[in-house]
Order: sequence, then structure tokens, then C-alpha cells
Amino acid sequence: MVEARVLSQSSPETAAEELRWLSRCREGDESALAALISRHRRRLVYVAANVLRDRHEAEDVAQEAFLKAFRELHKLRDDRAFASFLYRICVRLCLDRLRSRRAEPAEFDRVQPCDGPHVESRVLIEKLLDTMTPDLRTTLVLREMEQLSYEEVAELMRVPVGTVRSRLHTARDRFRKLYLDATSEAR
Amino acid sequence: MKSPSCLLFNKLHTRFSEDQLRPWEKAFCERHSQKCMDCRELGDTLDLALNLLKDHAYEFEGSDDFEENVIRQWRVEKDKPTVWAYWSPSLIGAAVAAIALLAILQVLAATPQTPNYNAKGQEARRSTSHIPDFPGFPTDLNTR
Repeated sequence: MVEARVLSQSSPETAAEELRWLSRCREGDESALAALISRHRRRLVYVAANVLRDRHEAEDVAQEAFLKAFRELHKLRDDRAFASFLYRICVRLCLDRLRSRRAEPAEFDRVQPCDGPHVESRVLIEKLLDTMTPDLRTTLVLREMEQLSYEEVAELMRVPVGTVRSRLHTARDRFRKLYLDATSEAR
Repeated sequence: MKSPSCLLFNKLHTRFSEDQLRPWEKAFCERHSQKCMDCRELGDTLDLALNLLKDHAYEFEGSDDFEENVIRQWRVEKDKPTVWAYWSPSLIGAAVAAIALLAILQVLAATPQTPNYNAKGQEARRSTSHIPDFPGFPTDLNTR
């Protein structure tokens, strides 16, 4: 199962190791680059896949996020904030993708392996999330699926905590109504 | 129409499940959901929907060549010439041409100095050398 926290720092040794990798990255050391990718890749793909509900697009976005983060490494003032810097880029890219694909009809990611009764509920989840606005959808996913704190969601989405609170209320309420409508239709 | 306490429950119930409520709000929600069947159903549906959402979280880690892909793209970006590197030969050529043109213009403009006919204390005088001498006719026309 996914880890509980994305942005909070891990052990001091791990944090120090990451700082060393970052300074080597600035010097163009590719092994440090690879180390950073392998540390954050899993989590970053999870976040993108859950927000976008499409594994191919999620992988693209995660790769793009890494490249953008490395390209803009000079903008990072505090190296200890690299994780939030990286995830913020990823969430922003996800939001851009969601906004650009809104006009298109909802499409179920057929590549995701699942069978039996799970298929129906997965299709339902995709359908419900697709009817929500990108901001509400992303807030809901980051809080409910990624288990991020309100502060972490606010940091990733670059909005005040109060906005996260109100968006989350709206998103949950809308999700519940959509779920109720969808399940009563099916009956 | 819903009662005020149902409306308040509606407002609070989305935060009920994650312990984000103040003690009195929590106590109110618990009390109200025991009394009001509709509101209890509302809370249950939300829990059900959110649990379904959590159950369908993606567990996809990306393809095996994820790292390689990123590093390869990074190399391509790094080796790509920058805008300055791409345009610098043309810019340097243009700068040299501009300097040369300015120098040529300077050389062409530097013609010998023309005499100043309007020097102070002098005036234009008509030549009288071609006028024959006639008796009683003033020889110096300029003094007339």
C-alpha cells in the first residue's frame, strides 16, 4: 500500500543523502540524477496515475516532471524542499492535462489490469471522477487516495489551506451525490 | 425541507470521518445521525463512495525503463545547443559587418574642408575687371 506521507522528510541520513545527490546533480552527475529518480519515481507515478487515471499519461507526466525539476533546479532555494518542488511540478502538469482533456469524452483506461466485479466499480470511479472539475478531482485524490494532509495538499496545489478545506467539502459532497445517482440508476 | 440541524449536519459531515471537527461538532453529528435516518444514510453513502475510491487507487510504478528514459531525454536536452550558441556566429558576423559599415561611412564623410565664404568682416564683391574704362563712368561698381 502507498506510504502515508509524500512531502514530509524521511530520516536525517536519507535527507542528507538527497542533499548530496542534489549538489552532484547541479554538477551534471548522471548517477545522482538516477538516484533521485529511483527514490521518487514510484511515488510520483502513483500520484499522477491516481489523479489522471491513466497509466500511460501518468508515466509521461512523471517523466516530464523529473525533467522540468532538473532543468529548474537553479530555482530551488532550499534543497530540503526538493520533494515538494518535484511533486508540485507533477501536480501542476496533471492539472494541465486534465484541463486540456476536459472536452474529450471520458475514456476508461483499459490497460489497468483488473477483473471480475472490480471492473464495474473501477469504471464507475473513472466516470465519477471525470465529471468533476480538475481542481476538485485533484484535491479529492490527493487527500483521499494519497492521504496527504491539508497543508500538503495546499502546498502542492499552491492554494491556501482554507481553499483546500472548502474544495474538499464540495468534492466529497459532489462525489457522494454522483455515486448515489450512478448506483440508483444501475439498480 | 430539511431542518436546520440537518443543514448543519450536511455542512459538517464531510469532515466527520477524518476527525477534523471540534468536540461539540462531533458530538452533534453523532447525536444527529442517531436521530435522523436521512442524514445517517447520507453519511454512510459518503463513507461507501470514499472507500470505493480508496480501494481503486492505482498501484502502478511505471515501466522498467522509466529511469533510462528520463536520463536519455536529459542528455538530449543537455546536448541541445542553447539559443545563444545557435545564433552566436550570425550575431558576431552581423556585429562585424555593422562596424565595417560604420567605418566606411566615416571615411566617406571625411571630405576636405570647404572654404568659409562667410567669414566675418568680408563681403562678396563683384568683379570689375571686364568693364572697359569710360570717362565719367565709375570704375568701382561696388562703392555705389
